[in-house]
Amino acid sequence: MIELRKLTKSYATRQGRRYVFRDLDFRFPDGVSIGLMGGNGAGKSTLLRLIGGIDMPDSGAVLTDARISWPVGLSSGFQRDLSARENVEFVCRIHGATGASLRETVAYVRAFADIGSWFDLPMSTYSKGMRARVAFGLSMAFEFDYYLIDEAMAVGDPQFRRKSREAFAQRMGGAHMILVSHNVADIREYCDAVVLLEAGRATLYEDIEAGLAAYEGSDGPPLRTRRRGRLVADDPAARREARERRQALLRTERDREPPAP
Amino acid sequence: MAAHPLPLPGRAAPTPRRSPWEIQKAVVFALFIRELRARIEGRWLGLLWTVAEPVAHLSIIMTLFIAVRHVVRPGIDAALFLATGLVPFFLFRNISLRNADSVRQNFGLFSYRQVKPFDTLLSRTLVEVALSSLAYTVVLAALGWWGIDVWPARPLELLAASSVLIALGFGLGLTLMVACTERPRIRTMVGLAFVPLYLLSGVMFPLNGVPREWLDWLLLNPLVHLVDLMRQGFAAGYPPLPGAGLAYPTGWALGLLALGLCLYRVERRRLIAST
Repeated sequence: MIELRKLTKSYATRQGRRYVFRDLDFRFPDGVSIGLMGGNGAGKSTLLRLIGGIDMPDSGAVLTDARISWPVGLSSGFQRDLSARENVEFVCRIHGATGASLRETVAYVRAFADIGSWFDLPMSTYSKGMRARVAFGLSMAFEFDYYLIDEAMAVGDPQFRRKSREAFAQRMGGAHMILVSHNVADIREYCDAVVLLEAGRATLYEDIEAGLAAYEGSDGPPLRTRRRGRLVADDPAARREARERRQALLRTERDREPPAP
Repeated sequence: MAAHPLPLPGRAAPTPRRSPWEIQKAVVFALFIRELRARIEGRWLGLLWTVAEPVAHLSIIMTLFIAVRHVVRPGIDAALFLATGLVPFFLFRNISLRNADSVRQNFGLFSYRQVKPFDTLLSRTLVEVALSSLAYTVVLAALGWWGIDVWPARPLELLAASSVLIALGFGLGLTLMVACTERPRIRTMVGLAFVPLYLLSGVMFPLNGVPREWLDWLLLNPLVHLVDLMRQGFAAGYPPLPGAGLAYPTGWALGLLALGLCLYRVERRRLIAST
């Protein structure tokens, strides 16, 4: 359950106070992945940060009983003087993973990022791509009920992108996501409902196509249908194929995984 | 390259429900290790410097004192007099100034919802106390090796004065941290103010020669009281500075803590909010 109660958030600007939301009441539907859409400046990222508990509303509250991730792929929390290992250990500790589970998580992120011995060098020496690999692996290493994703779904080279998608599909077995994106193809592939932000109001569209149509009608930027690499776009057959592939991946994962002790 | 996706770590999940106390404990511990690593492990010079700073001051001033054959004060050795002034003063300065910077320097960390500004203050204070204790131990061990009696005569009084000093530094750091978020220039001004404070706290030279009417003014500075009490804690024969007591600095510490906590409570949302 994620519910917004009388949520108000404003920013002070030189031209006075600008309200992003004013007394916004909204309840996200349970058990579905949500695409958060809206034009630039509609408050998508702000809402995502408020839901994640890393930004504070002026008044009102975000009520939830779910475990919500930090923004997936976030690398601003890394201390550049420390190595990836030390940064990962830090995140493990604040999430209560110590001892064996800390070692297991570090091993996972190390294998996932696949940056070899760089893993033990200070992160200031990393390339942007290497940092992104560590950040994404770290996000995937923890189990949450909701993963918050702001745009950047695809980072790194094609191989890493494939690996990211696989990890994501695994995680989506028991979790959902709130995805901020202008990318129609991503929304179609991952989300079950669309929440459209417009002029400080949130509208729920249980039917994705209706949501996308409303989004196209809103004063947003021009619609982007081409995802880097692959074109899924508006072709229903390609869409169905993508969905099936995702589910197949889930099934194989479930079969492969030994039953939990 | 693995054909199959990597198996996910099983128990790495955040435990379903942790009490606020458990979360805070975990966060402060994690930050403590992180701060310590950032301060030290990156370069050994970092660790060296924390110990070397008081030692360097000590040796320079000692040389001067020996050169002018100046008797500091009866009842306490000159080197011990300096060490017991310098190390606590640096501890106070580091706690308050590093805490004042803690929100700005740790801003990225607040992306993890468990981490709150107060946790960064607590962990930085712990780091400073730990490093200072190390510096104190090294300096005192060196002085002891030189044949000076460094064993505290009144350990409990010493401990009490040290606790008040830490609380005072923490209170000032907390207040500054909140104040500097809105007015960053306060930080620069306070940084500059530490130079005269260093000279006026009786760290380097004894204040017992100061005329009474000036001493009353100097005693407004809580550090004068604390530094003198610490010296009384170390050397049995040390004649106390008239007018120095624990009550006055304790009042300052409690006042600053209360002010800082109130400001923090009022501003706690805005500290980590984007503006």
